[in-house]
Amino acid sequence: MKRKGFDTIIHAPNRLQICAFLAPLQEAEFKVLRQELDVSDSVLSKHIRQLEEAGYIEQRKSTVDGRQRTWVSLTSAGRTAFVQHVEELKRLVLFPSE
Amino acid sequence: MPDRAEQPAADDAREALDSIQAMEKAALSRGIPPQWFGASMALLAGALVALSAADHREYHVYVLLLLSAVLVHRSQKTGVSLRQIPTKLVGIAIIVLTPLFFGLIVVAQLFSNAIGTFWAALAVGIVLAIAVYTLSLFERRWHIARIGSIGSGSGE
Repeated sequence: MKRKGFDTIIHAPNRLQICAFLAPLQEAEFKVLRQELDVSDSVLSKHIRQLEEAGYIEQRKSTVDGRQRTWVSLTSAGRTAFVQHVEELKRLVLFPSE
Repeated sequence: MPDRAEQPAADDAREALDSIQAMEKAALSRGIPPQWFGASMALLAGALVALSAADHREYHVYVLLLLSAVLVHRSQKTGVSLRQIPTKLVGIAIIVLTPLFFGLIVVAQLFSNAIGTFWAALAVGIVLAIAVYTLSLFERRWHIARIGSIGSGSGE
């Protein structure tokens, strides 16, 4: 059954956590996301790439003390999709039989 | 465009919502303004008004550079930067601090003849620093309350 707000790209557990973590933030460092999700660099990179390909996330590189840091943020399309997805999840909890 | 299909069961949806709340709390917890941040901003704001009152505006650039450094250091240290959501507190800060800043400069000039420029500038600097520090404490409390409200039905 197709649902307007439900988004399978976002709904995968790790990607859902990435979006939820980024939602109240302007941006977060890759290292912080990895710590919070407790996953490896490669797993996180894979999920970020999938969200980036969907246009939901963007990355920014910065150099601090000679070390490169990656910052990740939700795009406005990503923010909208995430909000709609959360609304759909709430609706499913409230009206499971619909 | 993403595939929009396969709706989960209510239990899965509830589990997903719990996971979302936990991550939102984690993100906001990382973004709680540290106490050193409020103290640094208070000191620098106090220095700014004191320098203006003492008519040493040529040093403003150094204070402003320090302010930028503190802001950058905060986001580098925490690894997150919060979305700037307009709140009542931000409104109050702008309404109170802007006239207070200029008012204190006028007050310092009025009192400089009586107590000397140095002491007048120092006094207004301390007043503004206390005001900024107090607001930073309120911001911290507001932030902690916001984290507590997630999942209780009153959150954003």
